[in-house]
Formats: sequence, C-alpha cells, structure tokens
Amino acid sequence: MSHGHGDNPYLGHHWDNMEQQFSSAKLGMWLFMAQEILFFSGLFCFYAVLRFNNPEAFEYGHQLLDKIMGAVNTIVLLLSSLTMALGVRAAQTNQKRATCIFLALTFLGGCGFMVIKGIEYNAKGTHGSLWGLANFKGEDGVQKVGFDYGKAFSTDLAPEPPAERAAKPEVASDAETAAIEPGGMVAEALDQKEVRSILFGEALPPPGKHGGHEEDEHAGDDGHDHGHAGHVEQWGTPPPTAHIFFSVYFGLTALHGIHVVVGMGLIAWVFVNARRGKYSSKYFTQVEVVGLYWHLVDLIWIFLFPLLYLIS
Amino acid sequence: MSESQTASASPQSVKFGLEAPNFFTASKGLASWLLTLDHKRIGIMYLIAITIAFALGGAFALMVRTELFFAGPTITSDPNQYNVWFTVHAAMMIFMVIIPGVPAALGNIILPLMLGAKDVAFPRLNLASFYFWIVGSLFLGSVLFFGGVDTGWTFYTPYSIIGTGSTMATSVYLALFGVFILGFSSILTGVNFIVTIHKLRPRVMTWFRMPLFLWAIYSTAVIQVLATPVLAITVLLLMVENFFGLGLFDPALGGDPVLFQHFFWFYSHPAVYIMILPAMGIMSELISIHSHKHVFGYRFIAYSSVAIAMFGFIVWGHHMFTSGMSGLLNAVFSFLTFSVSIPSAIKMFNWLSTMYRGSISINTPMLWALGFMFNFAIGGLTGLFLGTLSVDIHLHDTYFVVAHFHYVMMGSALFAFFGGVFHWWPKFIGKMYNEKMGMVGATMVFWGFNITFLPQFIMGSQGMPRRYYDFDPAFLIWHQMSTLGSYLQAAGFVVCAYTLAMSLVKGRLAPANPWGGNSLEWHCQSPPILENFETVPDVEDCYDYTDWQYDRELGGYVLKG
Ligand SMILES: [Cu+2]
Repeated sequence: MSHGHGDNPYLGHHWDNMEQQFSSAKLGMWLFMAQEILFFSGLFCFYAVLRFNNPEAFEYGHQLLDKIMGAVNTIVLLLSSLTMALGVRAAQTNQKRATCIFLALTFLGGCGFMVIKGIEYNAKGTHGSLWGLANFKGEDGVQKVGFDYGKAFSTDLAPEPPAERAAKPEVASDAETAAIEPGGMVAEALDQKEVRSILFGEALPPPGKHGGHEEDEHAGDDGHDHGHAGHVEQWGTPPPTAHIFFSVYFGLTALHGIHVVVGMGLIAWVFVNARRGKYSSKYFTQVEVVGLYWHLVDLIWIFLFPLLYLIS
Repeated sequence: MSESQTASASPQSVKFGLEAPNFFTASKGLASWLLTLDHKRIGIMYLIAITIAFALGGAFALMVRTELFFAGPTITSDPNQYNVWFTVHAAMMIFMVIIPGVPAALGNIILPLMLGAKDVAFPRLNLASFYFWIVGSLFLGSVLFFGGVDTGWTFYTPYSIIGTGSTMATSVYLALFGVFILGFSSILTGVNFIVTIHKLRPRVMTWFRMPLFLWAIYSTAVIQVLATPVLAITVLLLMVENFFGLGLFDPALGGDPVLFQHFFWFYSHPAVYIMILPAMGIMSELISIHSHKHVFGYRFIAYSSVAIAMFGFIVWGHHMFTSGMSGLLNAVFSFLTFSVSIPSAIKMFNWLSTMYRGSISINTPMLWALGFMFNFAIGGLTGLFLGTLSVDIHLHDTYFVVAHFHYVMMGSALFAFFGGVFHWWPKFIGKMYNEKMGMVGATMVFWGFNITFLPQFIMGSQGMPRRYYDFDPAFLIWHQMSTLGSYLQAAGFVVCAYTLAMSLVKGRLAPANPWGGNSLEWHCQSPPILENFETVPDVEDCYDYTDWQYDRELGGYVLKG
C-alpha cells in the first residue's frame, strides 16, 4: 500500500491521520460487539422462553451443575479481564515487557477457564446429564424416552405445575426398545449415542440392555460416591423435560466457549506482534480492540453464570 | 453554492476517461482482482457473482413456472422435486442476490465515491465479506448436489427437523450453514459501511447534506448489524437441534416450533427492509437526477428511512397470524404493521412531487425507476390487505402473498437495483450502453413482470394456495398467463445483459457526468482513478443541478463557466 502522508507505517492509505484511523477501528469494534450482544440476546430469549415453558426442568437441572467450579471460572475470567486491561495500558505506555507478560497471563486465564469447563463437561458426560432427550439419562442413569408428545404439541403455552409432571410414571427404557412418536426417533436416538460415544469415549450400551450399567462403571469418578437412591433423595426425580435444561446449558456454554477460544487466538496474535515491538503509544489499535472483545466475552459469562448455575 | 464547486478533473480526462489511468489499469492479472482491496473492484466482483446467482435462481423460477403451465405433471412427475425448485429459487434470490445486491455490490462501488473517500473504512474486512459471500453461496448452492432442500426458504420447524437418517438431512445442514455464513458477510458489510459513513465524510458534508442513497445505506447497515445476528443464532440452533436432538424446536422432544417462527421473522421482516431500503435510496437519486429537479422533501425522505428501519423491528408477527398467537398479539402486530406504511408512503409522495414539473429524461435508468413506482404502489397497497387481520386469514399462504412479495422484492427492490446498475454503469465501467436497447430491455421486463404477477393476485384471492405442485383446472388460464409472463421477463433480462455486454465492446467512452447529477461521484473521472479523487470538491447541495450544462459534443454535462 502506498502512503505518501504521515510517518506512521501503520496508517492506511485512505485515512487522513492516526486519530481518525484509531477512532474508526474502535467504532467498528463497538458495532461488532453490538452484533455479538444481539447474537447472545437471541440465545437469552431462547433461554427465557424455554425456562418459562419448562420451569421444573430448570429447577431440577441447575442443582446438578457444580456451583464451585462455575464460581471459580467466573473469578478466573474476571482476573483475565483485569490483566487484559493492564496489558492494554502497558501497550499504550510503551512498556513492551509488561505488555507481553499481561497478554500471556490473560491467555493463561483463558486456558484455565477452558480446562475447568472441560472438567465440568466431562463430569456431565460421565453422569449422562447431556443435551437432548436421547442423551439425557439423569443422575440415576436411566434414559428418559417417554416424553408425552401429545402434551408437548398442545397449543396451550402455560406451563404445567411441576408437581403434576413429577407425579407421572416414568417410562424407564432403552432407546432401542421404546417406541416413540414420531417414527424417526429411534433411529435418531441411536445416532445421538454414537455422537456421544465419540465425544466422551463412552461405550455404546449393548442392545436390549438397560442403560443403567454405566452408572456403576463411573460411580467412583466424581468422588461423591452416592448411589442410585442417593441421587433421587438429594435432587428429586428428574422431570420429563429435564433434558431441555441441559440442551440450553450446553448450547449457551459451548457458544460462549467458542468465543473464548477465538479470543485466545486473538490474544496469541497480539502477543506475537507485541513481542516484535509493533505496539507503542503511537499505535496500539489491535491490542485495544482485542481487549474490548475479551471484556465482552467476560461480560457474557457474567450473565451466563447466574442464569445457569444460580436458579432458585 | 456554485462558488464553492471546483472541477476535479481536467477536460482531457473527462473526455477520455477510459484512456486515462483508472482503477482498471492500475494493476493487471487475476490475482490483482481476487486479492484486491479496492472497493470498486470488490464491488464489480460482487456484481459478477450476483449475476451468476441471479441467473441460477431465475432458472429455478422458470422451472417452477413451466411446471405450472398445465395442471398435473408437466416437466416433472415428482412433487418433491417441485418443492426443491421453489425452495432453492427463493433461498438463492433472497440470501445470495437481493440482500447483498444493492448494499454490498452497488454500495461498495458507489458509497466511497459519493463520500469523496478513497475507500471504505476497512478494506480488508470488505474483501473478507466478499469471500464469506462466496463460501456461504457455495454451501447454499451445494445442496443441489445432495438432493436439494424442500423446506421452503423459511426453514420452518418441524419441516426442517430431519433425522440424520433422511436423504434430505445433508442438504438441510448445508443450506443452514450457507445462510449462517452469508449472514456474517452481510453483518460485516454493515459494520464497514456504518463506520465509513461516520468517519470518512468530507468536512463540508454534514449529515443532512448526504445524498439520500447514503441515508438509505446507513439505515440498512444498522438493520444488518442488529437483525442478522438473530438469524445467525436461529439457524445455528436449528442445525444443532437437527444434529444433537436438543429439544428446542422439535415438539417430539418437548420443543416449541412456533418459537422458531418468532426468531426467524424477527430477522426476516427487517430483512425485507435490508432489501427495499437501499432500493429506495437509489430511487431518490434516479428520480431527482433524471427529472433534473431538486429532490422534494429531503429531510422527510431521510427521516423516513430511519423510521422504516426502526418500525421494521416490531412488526414481524404479521407473518404468523395463523400460527396460533393470542388474539391480542395478532391485533397489536396488525396495527404496528400499518404504521410502516406511513414512511413508505412519504417516500412515494416525495418522489412524485420531485417529478412534478421537472424536465424528465426518459432513459433506461428512469424507466426502471418508473417501473418501481408502479410496482411498489401495487406491492405496498396489497401489503395493507395482508396486514389486515381478518383479510389475512383468508389470503394467508395463497398466491396473493406470492404476488405481493414479488411486487416488493422483485418489482421494487430488483427494479431499483437494475435502475442503479444502468445509472452508474457509465461511472464505474467508463462506457455508455445503447440507450434504445436498454429501454427495450427494461420495458420487456416491466410487462413480463406484471403479466406474471397480476394474475397471481386474482388466483390468490380465489383461493389458490402457494407452494402447490398441482392446481384446480379453474386456475389454468391464470397460471398460463403467469408462465408466459415469466418467459417475457427472462427474454427482457437477456436483452438487458446483451445491452451491457455490448457496451463493453463498442460503447462510446463515458463522460464524467452523463446525466447531470451533482453528488460527488459525478465529479470524478469515469471510470475513477485508483484512489477515486485527485481533489475532493466542496459540494454543499448534491441535488442542486443548476451549475451543470449539457455539452452536445461531449455527450454529457460540464460545469458552467
Ligand atoms: Cu414482514
């Protein structure tokens, strides 16, 4: 690109000066963040509608999430936001070493968040508290394939009282043996199991057998070591819609997780540039913009944490 | 105002634009196009790509119309095949042609020129948006190799929830993913244009001195940034729902299918304005310039663009009057829908007032603009029928709806788009086309269009449902008229394409200002140099044409004195 004006090599040919270029980049980033917020607002609307329609699922499901892990993750992400802000400050004030250190710390914070998230996901996988009807087995390890199709299709949007739903007899049966409307469900359920076996390395249950045996295999894994009866005693019987909570949980956290990973990629990129000495008080747009993005990722988690973990 | 204007180009370069250095000659080779950061080249690549998509989508439309020439099987005996055709036609025309058509393609070329800027704010992002468009279109187009999608372009659940075992499943994933990526292309273009308009306006151009096309593009960009992410999350969740069986939309799993409709239309109604608003912006330019008269009611037109953008967000429920919403909600959405007609009517009346006692040049761009006026009046007024709750219950999902939205989407949005292409063609290509042929093409498309879609209003009001492969023989005559009209349109488009192609071969060199416009793009050379302007003139009122006079020898307008 030809320049011919100004002495800063980072000034694009179509700008008058660095000031204009910087404020444009910032405006662009704010608009992009508005777009991200709308994206997550859509998700939060889904959350609201589904929670309104299935309050019992959310009341039941949230107890199964590990609040300690969630809280630790919140703190990790908040700290990483702090180090990011310090990194931007360091870049603006020509402190190359400090910039690199703070960016590296922020990156580590992102790693920590993802590792903790991974541990949580893994625990959910072991317990069968996964998304969708075909994957959710509840802590008692019994797959629920007895969803009331007619009820779900009724146009009445008013939620059923939780007590009434819980009182219904559960159909505890394996996907292969249960016939469910519409006809395609059984074939689909099989595929879901395959997906899960790929994701979590679980063995596919032999046909005709009760899914419950998996619980015995992994009983000691979570360290709590409570038996079958213990789960029901502690958390109550899972309502038939419990899988919807976990669909929402995995949907929201996975999409947020993708944003964390993208953010970490961006931080790695500005870290490399920072080490090469690209940033100074004369040019720090990239650090600033990546910082804004990272704060947004943090902010979204601040909303997600109470919405998913702290339901009363 | 005249004293502040200065000619930016020497008479020599005005006369022989294409022979002077310009953005075509700035660099050579395929890579210099594919990797270009120049907004004009990116815009031209968009135009080429969109033309291909338009031809493909048009071919599917012709197949649909041909199938309906006779009741029963005509060219296919498989009704599902017919479903695939209309779905692919609609998905391509909406997501690949009309939505990016004016903003991304024409906007890319014209917006920086109108601003007197060297480029858009983020040239790299601009190129990325183009490649997002390409990748998204490839995904959407690839469904043709996997049996196609038959859900309708709306992807309503539970039609679109397909078990992984079905043959249609792959196509639905591909189509949804394509729409997701095309959405990002649209969002990034919107971000780029908002920043460009905020930050790259010349000092003398205040907000209320901007050409009205820029107001329209700005309002459009706001909708693109605020509405498209909701579509993105919706199709993403639908994909995940399909793949993992989440139970968000699928009633069999405890989900709520109407929830999908709400989210889909929360985007797709504003998307109607992503398609029509920039077209209205073009209209304001065409009507004023070719009537050689100052635009009437500038502020009203500008504010009405913003008003349409705002109202557009709160009317989506009018697509769902029969989906089982509460009576109160239906009534509220019906009422709000009527409110959108006010700013649209304001624009129509202002254009008419602009033409009143103007000296109207009847040329190709103006014919397209007049076609827009006629079609938009019909499309807009029939929209009121559909927004009226009781009438909509009768007309919902009939050909009346099909005719209505074609009058708005094609008869208006695309007519303005083609008007814009013919209007700015001399500017960015540097050649004049054959005016007579251009007018013949525009006239053929106009008549073809009306012969195609007027009968559909009649059929619809008599109860012919949309998306049906077969029909009652009582509708035969209307269907046959409609099909013949579609052939006339196709022929008209061939004439248009031929006109433009021939202009490249033997058109005369275009002057800088062939029509007598005064916005900044008419002050630079045709075609522009790489960085558009040598010096940006101070234009205070871009709709004041009094400083320009026609030069017979040059075949264009020059500044007086
Ligand atoms: Cu609408």
